[in-house]
This record gives sequence, structure tokens and C-alpha cells, in this order.
Amino acid sequence: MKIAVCIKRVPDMDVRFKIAAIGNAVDEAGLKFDMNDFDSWAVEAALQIKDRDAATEVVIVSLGTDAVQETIRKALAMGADRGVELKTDHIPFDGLAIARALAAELKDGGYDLVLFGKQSADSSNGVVGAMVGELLGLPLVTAISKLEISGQKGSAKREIEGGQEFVEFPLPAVLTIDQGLNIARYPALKGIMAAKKKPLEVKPAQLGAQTVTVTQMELPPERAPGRIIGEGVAAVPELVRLLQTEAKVL
Amino acid sequence: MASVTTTKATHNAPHLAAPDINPSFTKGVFLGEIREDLVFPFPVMSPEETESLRMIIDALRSFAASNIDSAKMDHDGKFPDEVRHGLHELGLMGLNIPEEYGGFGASAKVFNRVFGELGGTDPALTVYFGAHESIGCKGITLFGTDKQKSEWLPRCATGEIVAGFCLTEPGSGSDAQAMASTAVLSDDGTHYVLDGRKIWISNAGYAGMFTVFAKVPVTIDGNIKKRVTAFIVDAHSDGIILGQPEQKMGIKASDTRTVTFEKVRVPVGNVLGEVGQGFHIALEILNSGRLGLAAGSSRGARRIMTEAAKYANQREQFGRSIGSFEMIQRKFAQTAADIYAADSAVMLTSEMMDRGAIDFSLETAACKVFASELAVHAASEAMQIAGGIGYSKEFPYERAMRDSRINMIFEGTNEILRALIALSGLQQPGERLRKLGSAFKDPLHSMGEISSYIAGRAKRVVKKPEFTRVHPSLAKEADRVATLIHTLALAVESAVMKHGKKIVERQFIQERMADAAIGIYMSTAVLSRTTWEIERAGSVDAVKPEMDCARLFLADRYRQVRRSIRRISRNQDDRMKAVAERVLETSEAAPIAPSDRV
Ligand SMILES: Cc1cc2nc3c(=O)[nH]c(=O)nc-3n(C[C@H](O)[C@H](O)[C@H](O)COP(=O)(O)OP(=O)(O)OC[C@H]3O[C@@H](n4cnc5c(N)ncnc54)[C@H](O)[C@@H]3O)c2cc1C
Repeated sequence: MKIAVCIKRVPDMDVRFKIAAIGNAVDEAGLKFDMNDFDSWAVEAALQIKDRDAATEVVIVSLGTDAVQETIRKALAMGADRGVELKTDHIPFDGLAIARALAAELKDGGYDLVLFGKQSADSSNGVVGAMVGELLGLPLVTAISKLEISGQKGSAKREIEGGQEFVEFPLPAVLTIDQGLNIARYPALKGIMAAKKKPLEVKPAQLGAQTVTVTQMELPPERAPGRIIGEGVAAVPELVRLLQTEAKVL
Repeated sequence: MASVTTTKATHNAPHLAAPDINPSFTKGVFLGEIREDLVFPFPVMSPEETESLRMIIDALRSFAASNIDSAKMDHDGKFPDEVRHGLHELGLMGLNIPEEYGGFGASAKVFNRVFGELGGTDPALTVYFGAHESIGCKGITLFGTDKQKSEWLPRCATGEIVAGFCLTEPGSGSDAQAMASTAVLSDDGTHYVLDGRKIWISNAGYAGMFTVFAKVPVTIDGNIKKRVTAFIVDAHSDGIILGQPEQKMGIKASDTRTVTFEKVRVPVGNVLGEVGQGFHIALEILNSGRLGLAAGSSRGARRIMTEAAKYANQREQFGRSIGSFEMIQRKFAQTAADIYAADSAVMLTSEMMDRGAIDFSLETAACKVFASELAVHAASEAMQIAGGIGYSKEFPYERAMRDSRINMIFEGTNEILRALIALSGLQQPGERLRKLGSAFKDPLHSMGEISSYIAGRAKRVVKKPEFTRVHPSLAKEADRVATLIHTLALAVESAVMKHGKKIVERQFIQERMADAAIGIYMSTAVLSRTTWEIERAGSVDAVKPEMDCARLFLADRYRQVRRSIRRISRNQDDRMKAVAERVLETSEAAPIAPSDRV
């Protein structure tokens, strides 16, 4: 079996972001980057298949600047076999451009499975996996929370509003992975050492035309700090008054 | 048979201090010299090291977040197996074991950073890791034959074998050479028979292998002498008896026991290094091992003060956060400056190990003393900031106080390390003066020696050493550190002249010399680190947080060190001795209290 996992390098979201001077991007200074969580579950899913069938080859593909090599190597340290960097000077917003570049790389690769995270933590478009499925003309299942592969057939569970859905699909297929499928393994020291020796190919990304661009970014408005207006019953009239006049919720 | 060779075979091995051969920064300081090339430029990790380190730290953090419950381990007095095995699976047990023997082969910089991370996570687990890797099987890495390495290290690297280090005995703690354990060669020459009792042995309960020190009787010129020798001992050998786990104040989950050896057969192939080389081996292992304790202590201090900062922001009294009160702020500021210094010194000293051919024995000792005392102090300050809850078992402060305290005691007590720093530092000035003393007995034939000494001394007296690689914005601070180095060297020389050989007995003075040397080394590390920070960021303004800590530290330390040096000659030592001796003689801590005179 041959599996490709497409991963994105994203900033750690537990920080206060700043907007860069150009106004349509995040200021990356001081940010910590790591593999997108959903993508790490996709890597884990591939590695679990490899754990059962050692003949499986897991290839990691990531589009971005050379900085993505670190993220690719993390996946290699977890146990993937080799990596491909699709090099660009920045990651475009246009999901279709990204999907085209990925599809161009994946097209003749002979992959039985192409895995994605459901969405990226930073831009949350959630479109690239689906678009690649379309561009490759392969069956697509999104937001998978349980996965089984046997021979050339797969079955999956999807969380849907108010319930669950069970689906079957033939291979090759494109899948996007939701939370809950697994817990990603940590790279162990042995893996980290081995990763240094695994192949990592760098190729130019064939993005093609980009039609959608971000024009401006804004931070959410500052939330006014909470206020204690008094204690006990005595404070109730004032509270009611403020809820009516200031917060305008009553 | 018993040729006691020292550093010959190990000269170029990494992670060896080899004090007899290699240059030392702090020994230079005692001579009034600044060996700047040993401390500049401030080290950086290679991009590859940085990347691996980040992955290791991330993995360790994720693992810790979901698996390590320090409060529970402290309460239960043991690690759950999943925690130990989790560390094994991460590969951490082989972090500093060479790659060719199945380990990760981490540089000292990476090793000590990870050690620090563990120290800030769980101190008991850090002892598990440190007793295994820093001291337990480190001897094999440093001194083992290829055969010994391939026999033991791969299994140590996976954690299949957990290692322990057996030096301390009931009658021999700080005075390790006084050990009573013996190892006698069997009549057929195939094995040694090991007898003795070792106490306070970390990891004993899990151990698959011990590095054991015992005395081997050797005949030299017809006399039988006993020579300390190191052995690799299979912990499952017949005749090894483990005591019950010690009930301790802190690091409770760490397993500490007595290990008794009764006629344990150790194959001759398990002698580590050479017969008689054991004491040297123990010292070299500890010389490098103690830097890990410093790294762990520094991170421990950071962690508990970080905790205290969160609390100080949120706790309000008198209508404002307690963090807004200056007596609380003073605690944060001073510990921040001290942690800045400790981090800088650990990194700098790690680099000395990685570069090789540098004697770092006094620097690791200095780091251990400074950082262990910092961690204890920080835990106390954090507890004070937390007020009543600081004293509660439900919060981490009281545990931090209990856990941090051990670092002042093991791997060389801080007293022993201060004596080590002072006496090693005094060796060269002392030797120069001794040579001079004998030269004066035969002055006509020793004119060369006398004049070269006088010339050298004149140079030292007249010429204050200089830092040339410190960033100009720290010129004044650098000049002050240089002044301290100069005055320390002069004070050392006067003290040696005044006390002669008896200086060995003058620990009041040694302690001050050591404190001065430690302060000078920490200050130097701060100068080096801050210069690097400025150059890296491109301007002084860009590194204001670092610069402020540096200035605060350097100013404080300058005053403290100056005082230590002054008190080498001007002191109350006679009185201090009289008071102490009276206490000891009467076993009464102080003169009888007025209220007791009834
Ligand atoms: C939790 C724990 C774990 C340990 N793990 C290990 C281990 O894995 N392996 C191992 O071999 N040992 C281990 N030890 C032992 C530890 O290294 C010793 O306790 C330490 O070296 C001090 O020895 P001691 O207890 O005999 O104290 P002593 O040597 O009796 O010292 C008592 C006091 O006298 C001072 N003192 C002694 N000599 C001098 C001197 N010349 N000048 C000035 N002051 C002096 C000491 O500084 C100390 O303050 C451990 C100890 C503990 C508590």
C-alpha cells in the first residue's frame, strides 16, 4: 500500500496574534509553528496502517517555504518514509491553487490513499482535501472519525449533526480526517535520528493562477473587561440597570 | 599489576574534564587571568540540534501533560510503570549514549536542556533519569572498552537495563576514598569477589546494572595497598540484597535503597578502566553529571516562579493584585536575574564539554552550587508569594521546597564542591609560591625562578586583566568583573603567603574564595550570553528584558563578590571559630537564654 499524507505547518494558536504591516497577513515574528493537529491525526492514521502492514510506504507532502522541512521531518520522525516539499515563497490563501499543486504531485504517484486533515487551524478553509479529490477524480470522504481499510476497500465513520454516518468506498481514495480518529504518537529519539537520514525531496510548487486573495485582516474587537458592581441582593438593581442600558440585553 | 594511570587513555574523549591536562577558566581566575577564548563566543546549537531538541521537548511535554501526575507520584512514593516505560519509549534513557551503541548521542548542550526540561517537569523523575544516565551508565560510555560498551549500553539506551551508581557507604559519604567495600581477585583470576554495603542508591529497586566502587588489594613493593576500582555489576547477580525504599522528604517517587553485596562474583572483564583508577573515574563521572543537576535546578526555579507569577497576578489584597507590591516584585526580579545567570552558565559550561580538551570540573561545580541554592531559594520565595496556599499540599509550592533541597546534598555536597573549587583554584598559585619557597633556600642557583616569579607577580599586580569581547554597552560591568578577578588573585596570593600549607584547613577562607569564583563565573557567563543576545538581535534596545536581568545580576554579584574577597583577609574568623567550637564542645546551640537561668 502506498499512502500520501498532505500536512500543513501552522502557527501555535494559543497566542495573541498581531497583524503584519502589510495588513493582510499575520505577523509571524515570535510565533511557534508545528504540524496542524488534524494533519497529525492523518499521519497517525497512515502509520497505523503501516504498523499492520510493514510493506506500506507513507509519503509526506507539504507545500510552503523551506521552513516546512522541519514539519515534514517531524512526520518522518514519527515513522513516515519520505517527504516532499512543494516549495513556494509563501502559502497562498487560494485553496484551489494549493490543491492544483498537490494534485500535480500526487497524480502519477500511484497512491492508494491520500490523507488530509479536515481543516487547517490557521485559515480553516477546509477545502484543499476535497479539491484534490475532485482534481484527481477519486472518491472523497471528509471528516472521518473512524477508519478501516481491508484490501482495496475502505469503510469510515463520519460525525454529522445529531448522529453518525457509516460509509464505504473503493481505493484509491482521498480522505480528510477529523478529531477523535486517533491520538498522534510522539516522535521518539530513535525516530528523530532516523528522520535525519530519510529522503526529503524539494520541488517547485505548481500553483498556477491564484484568483482568491486576502485583502485585509482584522483582530476581533477587544472585549471590555468584566466588572464587579457589588455583592448580594443590594447589587441587583444596579445590575439590572446596566444590563438594560449598557449591555442592552434586557 | 596496579599501574595507576590517569587520563592517558581518555584525553580526547568528549565529556571529560581531565583536570590534570586541560585549561580551566576558573583556575585562570585564581591566577588573575581571563581565559576569554574558553567563554566567548557564547555557544549556539546547530540548526539540526535545535530541530531535534524541539521535537524532543515537544514530545516530552505532550507525554508529561497526559501522563505525569507529580502530586500523585509524590503522594504514592513511586512512579507508575507507564511513566517509566513512557520515558523509555521516548528513547530518553539513551539520550547521551553514543549512537553506535543504540543511543541518541546528544551533545552536552542538548542533554542538559532536556535534563532541565525534566527538572521543570518532575524532579523525582529527573533523578530516575539522572541516576541512570548522568552517573549510572556514564562510566561505561566514558571509560568502558568496546566490548563493555556493546554488552551494556544498547540495553541501557532502551531502558531494558536501568542503571545505578554505588559510591556512598555508611562510613564514607563526602569522603568517598574512605570506602570499606572490597573486591578481591579470585584464586583462579577469573573474577573478583565483591563485599560491602552501599547506601542511598538511587534507582536500586529497578536497576539491572550498577557501577560499583570498591577497593582492590594490590601488592606494591611488597606492601598491600587498597586501590579504589570501578566495576560493572549485573544487578541480578547472586549475593546482592536490596533494602526497603528510603522514606524521604522530597523526590519521593525516586527509588532510593541500601544495596548490600555479599560475596558477589564479578567477572574480571567487568573492571571499568583499570584497577586503581576508580576514584578518578568516580570524579570524572560526577564532574559532568553535576551539570545536569544545575540544569534541572535552574528549570525548577523557573517553573515555580512562573507558577507564582500567575498567582500573584490573580490574587488581590488591599484592592490590588499582590504582584503590584514591591516586596513581591523584588522576589520576582532577583530570581529572574539569577535564573538568567544560571541558564547562561549551564549553556556555556555545556559548550566547554562539547568542545572537549577543556577542564570544566570547577565550572560544573560552580553551576551546581549556584543553581541548587537558587532553586531552594526560589521555592521559598514562591511559597512566600503564595502565602497560606503556599503551605498547602494542594499546590506545588511546598513540594518544590522539598524536591529542590536534595540538589544541595547529592553528587557532591555544596560544601565539598566549594572546597573543590577553592583548593583546585589554589593549587597553581600555591605551587608557584612553594617553588619560590624552595628557591629561596638555594637562591644562588634559583635566581631564574625567583626573578621569573617576581616578574610574573609584578605583571599580575600591575596589570588588571581585561575582557575584550564583551559588547561595549556592558563595558563598565565587564571592567568590574575584571577588577574582581584581579583582586581575587591578589587576595589568594596573600592568603597563601599568610597561611602557607594551613590554607587547606582554612575553610572560612576557602568558602569565600569559592563564592567569589562562583560569582565571577556566573557574571562571566552573563557577559557572554548578553553580548550574544545583543549581537543576535542587532541592538541593545531589542533585548531589553535580557539586558535588565544582566545589569541587575552583575551589579548585585559585584557587591557580593567584593565582600567575599574583602573578607578573605578582613574577617571575624578567630571569633567565629571560638563560637563554633564552644557550640560543638557543649553541644548547646547558643549561650544559655536569659529565661533559662532559673
Ligand atoms: C536522595 C538521595 C539519593 C542519593 N543517591 C545516591 C546514588 O545514587 N549513589 C550514591 O553513591 N550516593 C547517593 N546519595 C548519597 C549522597 O551522594 C551523599 O549523601 C552525599 O555525598 C553526602 O554524604 P553523606 O550523606 O555521608 O554526608 P557527610 O559526608 O557525612 O556530610 C555531612 C555534612 O558534612 C559536610 N562535610 C563533609 N565533609 C566535609 C569537609 N571536608 N568540609 C566541609 N564540610 C564537610 C557535608 O557537606 C555535609 O554538610 C544519595 C543521597 C540522597 C539523600
